[in-house]
Amino acid sequence: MVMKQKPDEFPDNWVRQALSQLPDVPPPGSSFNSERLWKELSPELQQVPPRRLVGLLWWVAAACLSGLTLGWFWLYQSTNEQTVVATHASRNKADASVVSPYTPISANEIARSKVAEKERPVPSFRLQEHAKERRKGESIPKVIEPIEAVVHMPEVTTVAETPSISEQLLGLPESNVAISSPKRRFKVVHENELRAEEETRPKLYPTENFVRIGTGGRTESDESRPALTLPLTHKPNQ
Amino acid sequence: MSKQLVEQCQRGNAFAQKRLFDQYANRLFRVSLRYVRNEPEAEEVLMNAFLKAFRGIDKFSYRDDNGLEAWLRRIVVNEALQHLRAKRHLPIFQADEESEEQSDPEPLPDAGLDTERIYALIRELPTGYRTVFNLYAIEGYTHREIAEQLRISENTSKSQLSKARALLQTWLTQYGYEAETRRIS
Repeated sequence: MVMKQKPDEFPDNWVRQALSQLPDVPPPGSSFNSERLWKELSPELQQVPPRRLVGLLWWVAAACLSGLTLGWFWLYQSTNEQTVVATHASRNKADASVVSPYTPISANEIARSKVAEKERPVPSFRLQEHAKERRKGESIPKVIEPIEAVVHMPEVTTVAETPSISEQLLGLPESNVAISSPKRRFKVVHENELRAEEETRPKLYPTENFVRIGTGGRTESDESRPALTLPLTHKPNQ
Repeated sequence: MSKQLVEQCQRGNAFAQKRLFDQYANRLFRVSLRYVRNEPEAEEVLMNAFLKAFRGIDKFSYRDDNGLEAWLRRIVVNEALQHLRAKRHLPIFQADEESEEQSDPEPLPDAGLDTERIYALIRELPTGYRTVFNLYAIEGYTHREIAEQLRISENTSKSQLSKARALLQTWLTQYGYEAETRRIS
C-alpha cells in the first residue's frame, strides 16, 4: 500500500488506518509462532486461577475455624456438665457421712486388713529371655526386646491402709486370715465433716451452764447464748 | 460464529479457546510488539493477556466481532503497560526522552512506505513517545486517560505526542515521503 494516494487525511487517523490494514501475520523477520505460544498457554489455562484458589483456601480456613470453635464449645459444655454432676455427687457423699453413725472397727476386721496388706500384690516384671541367656553365660544382646511388664496395683490406696504399730502388736496368725479379702478399717473423712458429725452427735451432758475459757472463736450457734470469755493471760489479782 | 465461540469459551471449552487464540494471536502480537521493545517480551505480554482474557471471559458480553477484538486489544494494551511499568520503562522521564531523540532509526528492509514500514517506524520511537503515540493516535485514548494510565501529567502526554509526531515526520522525510508527512505535525 502506498501512502501517497491519501494526502488529505488527518495524520493520526492516517497512521491508524494504515496499521489496520496490516495482514494477520507476524511482522517480517519475526520468529513468532502462535502454536508454540499456545503450547505454553494451554497448561496455564487448565490450572485453577489464583483468585479462585485463594477463595477456596479462605473457605477451608473458615470451615476449620468454625469446626474448632464448635468443638471447643462442645467440649466446654460437656466439661461443665461433668463438673456439676461431680459437685452434686460429692455433696451427697458429704451428707451421707454426716448422717451415718460412726461404726466401731472390730479386732477381726483389723486382722483381716493386715493380712490383706501383706497380700497386696507387688509389681512383678517378667523378663522373658534375658534371665535364661544370662544363666547360659551368653553375651547380652545390644538390642533389648520390649519387656512385658505386668503391674498389679490396687485401685485405691489411702493413708489409712498403711500398717500401724497397733496391728503388729495384735500378732494374729496369718493362716487364719489368708483368704479374707482386704477391707478398709478407717474411713477418710474431711475435718469439716468430722466437726459436723460431732455437732450432730447427741451430747451426754448439758453445756448451757459452761463457761468458755480462752480467746477462741465462737460458733454461730454459741453466739445466740450469753457467754463469758476469760482470756488465759488474765490475772484478776494484778 | 464468534458469538458461539465466545459462549463455548465461557463454558471452558479448550477447542473454542484454541480457535479464538488462533483467530487473534497474530494481530494481537503486533499490538503487543508496538509497545514493548523485543519479541520475547511481546510474547510474554500476549500470553498473560490471553490468560486474563480466558479467565475473565465470563464477564464479557458479546455484541459483535469488533467489540470482541476491541476487548482483547484493550487487555493486551493494559498488559503491555503493566509490563513496561514492571520493567521500569514507565513513568516517562523527559530527560531520558531528549537523549533518545537524537538516535536515528535502524535501516528498514523494504524501500516502499507501506504499512509494514510505518509499523516499523513506530516501533523505532523512544519508549515514552511510542507509548503516548500508540495510546493517543492508534488506540484513541485522550490525554487525560493517558496521563492516568502512565501516571504523568496531561502536559507531559501532549508534549510527548508532539515530539513523537515530529520525530516520525523527520524519519519519513529521510525516506523521501515529504509530501505525506508535511501534514503530520
